[in-house]
Amino acid sequence: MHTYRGRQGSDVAMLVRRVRDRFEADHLQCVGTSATLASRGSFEEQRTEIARVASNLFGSEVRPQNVIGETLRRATPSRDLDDPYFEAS
Amino acid sequence: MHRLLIPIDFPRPGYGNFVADPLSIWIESTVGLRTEDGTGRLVRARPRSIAGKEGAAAELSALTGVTETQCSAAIQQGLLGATFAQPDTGFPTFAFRITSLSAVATRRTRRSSRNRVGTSLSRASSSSQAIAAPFCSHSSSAASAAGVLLGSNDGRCRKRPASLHAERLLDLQTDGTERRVFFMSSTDEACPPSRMRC
Repeated sequence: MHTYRGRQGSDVAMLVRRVRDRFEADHLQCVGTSATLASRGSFEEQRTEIARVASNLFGSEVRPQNVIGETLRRATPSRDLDDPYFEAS
Repeated sequence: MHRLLIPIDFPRPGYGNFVADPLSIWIESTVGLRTEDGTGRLVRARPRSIAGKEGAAAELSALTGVTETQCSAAIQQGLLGATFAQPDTGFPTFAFRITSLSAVATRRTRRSSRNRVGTSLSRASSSSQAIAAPFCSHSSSAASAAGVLLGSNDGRCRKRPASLHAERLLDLQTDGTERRVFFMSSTDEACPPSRMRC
């Protein structure tokens, strides 16, 4: 989705609206993906911002709770780096 | 007293050895992940540079008493060396990657010697070149689809698809005349960015 900016973004946004109109598909499902959209703020703030951009692009409401993020996990064990015995623990 | 040591042989081979190493823990905790305030959600750390006053190397140097240059090398080795697949998921060790690692290595090549990476590099005889390689990305499939981009100062670049891993790219450091090598991990930039000077 991050590539749909400016003129290209408008193109795609209009195309989505045309498709919806021609097929009379009021419940057209739009799915957008991006690895680089919104990198600032908390995860909740990012979802809200992404939902806003997606709603704008798709011409239908995308709710923040429908924005799926990644689930990360540590590869290394979690240690308190300020612990003087961090290395030994 | 310094709280962290940089092992001479870092990173040691093997996933288990790598993730148990305090330096690996420090790398993941410092440049990789952070816990989001309020929610406790594990999120990516804000991208930061390795070098410079605010860089990760300076921080590691303060922690270890080892020079910034050595710390910078250790961090880069750690990030480049973290190519092990996680045993249960098959994903690369870290979820993060180096996005623009410049001047990580001085490449030595003799005109007569063959490059280990193959014909794509041995034919590059211009005074400089940029090598870009996506690696350590989010999934193992992306990592195996890593390509090598080859460019020169005139801005031309050609894509050289190859399934090179970071480990093999490190081989570039070890033979012939001096040449700066750039590694770049980007899956959406088509060629080395214009700001990159060799």
